[in-house]
Amino acid sequence: MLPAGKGRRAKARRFVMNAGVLKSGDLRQGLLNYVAALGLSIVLHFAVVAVLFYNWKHQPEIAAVDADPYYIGATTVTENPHRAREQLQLQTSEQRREQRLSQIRAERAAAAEAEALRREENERRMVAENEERRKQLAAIQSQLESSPQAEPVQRMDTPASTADIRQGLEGSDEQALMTELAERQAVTDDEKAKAYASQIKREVEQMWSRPPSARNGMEVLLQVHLVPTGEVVDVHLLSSSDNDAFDRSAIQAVRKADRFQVPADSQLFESTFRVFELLFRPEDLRL
Amino acid sequence: MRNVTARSLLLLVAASLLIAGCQAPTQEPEPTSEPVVQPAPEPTAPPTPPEPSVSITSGGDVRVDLTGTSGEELLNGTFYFDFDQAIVKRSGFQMLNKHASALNIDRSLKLRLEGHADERGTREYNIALGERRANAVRSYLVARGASRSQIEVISYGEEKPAVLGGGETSWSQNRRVELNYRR
Amino acid sequence: MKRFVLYLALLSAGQLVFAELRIEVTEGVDNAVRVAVVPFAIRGRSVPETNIRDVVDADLTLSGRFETLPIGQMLSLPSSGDDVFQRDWQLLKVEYLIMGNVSLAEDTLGDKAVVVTFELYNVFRGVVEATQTISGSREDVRDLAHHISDVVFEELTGIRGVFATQILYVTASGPVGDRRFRLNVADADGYRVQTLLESREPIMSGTWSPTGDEIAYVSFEDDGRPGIYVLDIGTRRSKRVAQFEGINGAPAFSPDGRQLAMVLSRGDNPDIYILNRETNRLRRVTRHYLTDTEPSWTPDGRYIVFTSDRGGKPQIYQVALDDLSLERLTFEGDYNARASMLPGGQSIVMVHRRNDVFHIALLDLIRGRLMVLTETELDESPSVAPNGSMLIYATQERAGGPGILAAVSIDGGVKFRLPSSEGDVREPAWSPVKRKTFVPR
Repeated sequence: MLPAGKGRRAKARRFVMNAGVLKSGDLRQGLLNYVAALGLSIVLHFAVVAVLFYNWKHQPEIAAVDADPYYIGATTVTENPHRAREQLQLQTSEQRREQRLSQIRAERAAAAEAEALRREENERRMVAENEERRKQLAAIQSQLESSPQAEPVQRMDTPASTADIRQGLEGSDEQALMTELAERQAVTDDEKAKAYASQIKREVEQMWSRPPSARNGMEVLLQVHLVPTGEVVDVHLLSSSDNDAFDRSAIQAVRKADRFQVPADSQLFESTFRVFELLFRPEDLRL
Repeated sequence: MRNVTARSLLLLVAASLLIAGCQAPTQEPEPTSEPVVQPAPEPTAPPTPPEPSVSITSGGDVRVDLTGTSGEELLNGTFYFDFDQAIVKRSGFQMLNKHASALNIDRSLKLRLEGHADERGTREYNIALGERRANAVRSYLVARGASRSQIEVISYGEEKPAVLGGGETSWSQNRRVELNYRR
Repeated sequence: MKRFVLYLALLSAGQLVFAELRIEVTEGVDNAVRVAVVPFAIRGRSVPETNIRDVVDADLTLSGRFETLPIGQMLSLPSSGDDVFQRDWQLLKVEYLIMGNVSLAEDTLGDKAVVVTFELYNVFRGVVEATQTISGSREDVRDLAHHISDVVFEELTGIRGVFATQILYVTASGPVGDRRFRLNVADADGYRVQTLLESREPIMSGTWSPTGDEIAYVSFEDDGRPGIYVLDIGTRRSKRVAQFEGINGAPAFSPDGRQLAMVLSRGDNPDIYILNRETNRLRRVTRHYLTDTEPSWTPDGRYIVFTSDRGGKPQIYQVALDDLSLERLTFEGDYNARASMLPGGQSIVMVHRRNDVFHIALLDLIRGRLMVLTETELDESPSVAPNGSMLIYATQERAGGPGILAAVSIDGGVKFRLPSSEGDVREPAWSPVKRKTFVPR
């Protein structure tokens, strides 16, 4: 049995608050100049939450209005006592269903809201990081552009300041700097993708319940299609293990995971996560 | 006078047997009873012939008066064994000798040796173990003059425990061979 | 120009490194699969006495591979895929639905009286994975339900279900000196107990013929002497097939059912014999002055696996029936007994003593790996289900307590006990076939 809806909702809302506190803490560290924007966004989000909650409260009512005439019609027509009983059962179960649905939906919505908030913060941070990087890059660019011109001047001036010398040295090592920069960029993307990939792996593992006919060394290869929100839209079986139950358990694990954390950086998403392969090969079974 | 001492000695043997049955199986029978008891039956044989008598109780036990003079004695019909062993304990020799004599005296006696095991181990393996125990008793009796044709061996393994329940106290009472007489 | 090249390099770096992402998943949680067995819709006027839904629900729960949703938590009660609100069940984290309808013809007797249609519905994919319509007599409702459980189990686990099979076992009750022994048979879920035989003398070693039509057992009913009997389940008639001097024990039907292996001591020491049931001829296959017992056939019928203490302690050996050559199979531990081979012929299950405690163990004969499967004590009489994935065995509820039956999966993952009120329960034997089979329309 699930706890009463109110308690659940309160808990969910608290979770939202906590998430907000956590995020602002993070932000304070790196992004002091975005405080104003952040404030605005939080206000906006609360507004969105409020609107959403308002909507959900109303959903069951709408459903009830829809359902009412239908049931009246059904009960009057019926003559078979069994059918009547079934109908009654259906009706009560329908009401119960609606109640519980609205409960669950509210819980889900709160969770989804928290998730959306978190994602947006994440994206904002990434954007900020990108901005930072772009600025650095621009600074280096301008430095590089200015250095060849400065060089002859420096040579003419006899006692060169230390800053000038350093600038000159960097300038002369221009090519090395370029490659280093490119590599650093690649490494961060690489690391980022790896982090997301291992998160996906963990989530799938959490969902993967192998049938008792599974044996170590069996392999099934799936192709997973995501949309930028991380939602799973398609799962293809690329190669089978020849055990239907085992294949199904792998597909089911991905289906159950439903959505994955994916990079907000659309370029990285497109290149790596829109379509990827999942190889299931158990190594921890007892047989 | 001699009869009285012999009888009291026999009582002692019976008591020690009982004690042995209850003791931990690893213990050897007390050597004290052996030298005292052993000479007892032999001197009783030579004197002139009072008729020995043998009778069977409703429970399948046997009553004997080996000399025809000392009065009837109900022979103990249960012999205990160590865990996973089928060796007749020395403490039982004395009593088994009497059973052998009884079988010898009355050739119409039929003896069923029922072998048993404790509950540890598999059932069919315990059937084999019970049979081995009963066979060991049979070999002893045949060596003391009983006829093999008088003796039937049946093993019940762990199927007919004397005492229900686990633990060494129960187990030691269930590792046994029971002697069951009939005509 | 240089700058342009640099940007190009930066842009393509990501794509170059991760053109093909492949994530390897090598671990899982193996949680029970969450399913919901929805109450079956009733078509027609009368309701069958046995609730199909409850039987299926209990079967799946008992298997340990499934977690079922209580009816109280269901949001709707669909009876076919068309009525399913997929999202509802997803929210409840239910992966599969088992649903359907049953119609009971009022005036129809015989095999068509009860008609059941069922569906196995995959909530996450929104498809019906399996559907069947089956029919049976009014007495068959429980069998029909077990059939549904079997279909669902096989579809989702890749292993044949054994819910429609039966268990043969022996009970003993009453105080010492007034014991009653019974040979019983019950459904694999413990229902529908029938007593085949009752005696004041012990009954032992019940075993099934490969077709499930006959049962061989040892009884001491003839003046306390052991004999091997074969009971015809259809006629309930028993026939004595062996009563020699000494031990007559441990019968085991050959895979083709034409021969019966047994242990006879014939006044000497126990050895393994084979009785040809057509010619009534006995063939001796082992000869040793110590104990050979507990024969069981390999699935191909070419060998007999047995227990022998010819090496000092009981160990498992195998004798080839063509040339009677011997091979010792177990070396680990000082007590290995009552072995039987799994359907694949690669592993044996047996009783294995470790630290003075008797457990059921699985020995992989190819890799030589021994795996202790049970944590209970005084475990004995393992009997493998016909699907080779479960075994049932006898143990004690507590030390010194009455015997009970317990089951464990061959991978050791699922364990459960079958408590009984019938006193001492022992020597379970899993039937090789279903009680009843149904052909889907």
